[in-house]
Amino acid sequence: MKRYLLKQCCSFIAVLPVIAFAIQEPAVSGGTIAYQKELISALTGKAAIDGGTTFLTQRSSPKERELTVQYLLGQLDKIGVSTSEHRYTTTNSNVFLDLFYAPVRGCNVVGELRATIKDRPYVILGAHYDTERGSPGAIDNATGIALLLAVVKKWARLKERRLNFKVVFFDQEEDDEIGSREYVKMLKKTGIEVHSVHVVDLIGWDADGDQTIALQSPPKKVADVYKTIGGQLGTAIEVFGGAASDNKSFLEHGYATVLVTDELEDMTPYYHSPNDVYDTVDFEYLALSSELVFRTLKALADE
Amino acid sequence: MSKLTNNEPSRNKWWTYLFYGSFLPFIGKGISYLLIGAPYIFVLGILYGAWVIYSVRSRPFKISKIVGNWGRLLMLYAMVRLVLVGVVFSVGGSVESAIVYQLTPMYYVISVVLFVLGYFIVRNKRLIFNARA
Repeated sequence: MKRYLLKQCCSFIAVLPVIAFAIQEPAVSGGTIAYQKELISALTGKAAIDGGTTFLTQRSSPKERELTVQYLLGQLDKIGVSTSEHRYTTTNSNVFLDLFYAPVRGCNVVGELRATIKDRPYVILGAHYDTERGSPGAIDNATGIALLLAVVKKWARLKERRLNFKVVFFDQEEDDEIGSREYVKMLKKTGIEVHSVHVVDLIGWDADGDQTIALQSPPKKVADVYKTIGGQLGTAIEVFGGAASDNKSFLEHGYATVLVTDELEDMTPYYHSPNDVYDTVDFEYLALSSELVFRTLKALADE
Repeated sequence: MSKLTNNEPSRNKWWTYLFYGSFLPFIGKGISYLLIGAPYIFVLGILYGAWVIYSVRSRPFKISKIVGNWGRLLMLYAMVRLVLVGVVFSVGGSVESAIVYQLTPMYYVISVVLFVLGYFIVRNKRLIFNARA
């Protein structure tokens, strides 16, 4: 009898790793996909943004952008993140325009989760929420918003957070990154210590199905962590240079910044067009990218 | 004839107020830009205002000429505003949304009002400040 019990125990112990693997959370969870589908349908006019009768067909005019601001504040509140609005007024792109037009106004939406230990630097995760005129902006950049909200939702659930965390939704990226430039000006004045900045733009297209995710101008240390985590998730990481989005504003001021985006050779053909709609988003790829960013930030925090 | 003479000071006063009032939009614009750290419009306004005040007080030029020039400047400003609308719509998608969404009905109303104001200032330049000289 003893021998039988021992044998049973040994077999049970032997299959434990298999059970553990089976119940381990998959890289891409169905919950994340459902959540991101809900967000992107509201942001692109597939569903009402206020649960009633208001549908956003783009996020470009002052009124549409204000509606988006209220929506994002609501989403951050639901997650339990402390929120603030960074409202700014600034000059036009040149003096001549200033003579004939009013100053430019906009609003960045900021959420903050404090580290569970003291005196830690901030990691900033950002994406723009405005769109080009006439485009619903599903991939550019409702996907960026959905990625940020999925990551911050997971980050909020962590028992131990070893970095202060700011999530920023930038206004007016389509107008020469006005929102992020104004945010960086304000950030510099606060003098807070920034560990790294991760900007997300255009992250929902993977027509060739190779699940490659691109990083633009990452610091080597950050790129290495992304590559390691990418390896664990089975996704390739492509690195290229330059500055094409809100990462430009941070790079110009010397912040360690990376842009997370689609593979360069496999970008949405509907960029800045009326066809950049909900149905073109690859939600599996978006959820995978979200997991990559979350795990990378966690690894950076745990270093 | 005597009736006309009695009304004249009052008419002149209103035209003078209108002349002063035509500076208000630019003072507002100058202050709004000054508050966000861009003083050039305010400085430009101060310089022009100082020149007008000096000219009115010291009379190195005919006052009617100074008033008339301001009226013409207003008309030119209003016309450039309206021409810019055409430029914005002909250039299309590459124009910043921050500019496009300022082209509201109020933008056209202000442009037309400034043009009309400039026109009446030029037409009545001799009545302003009783500037018969």
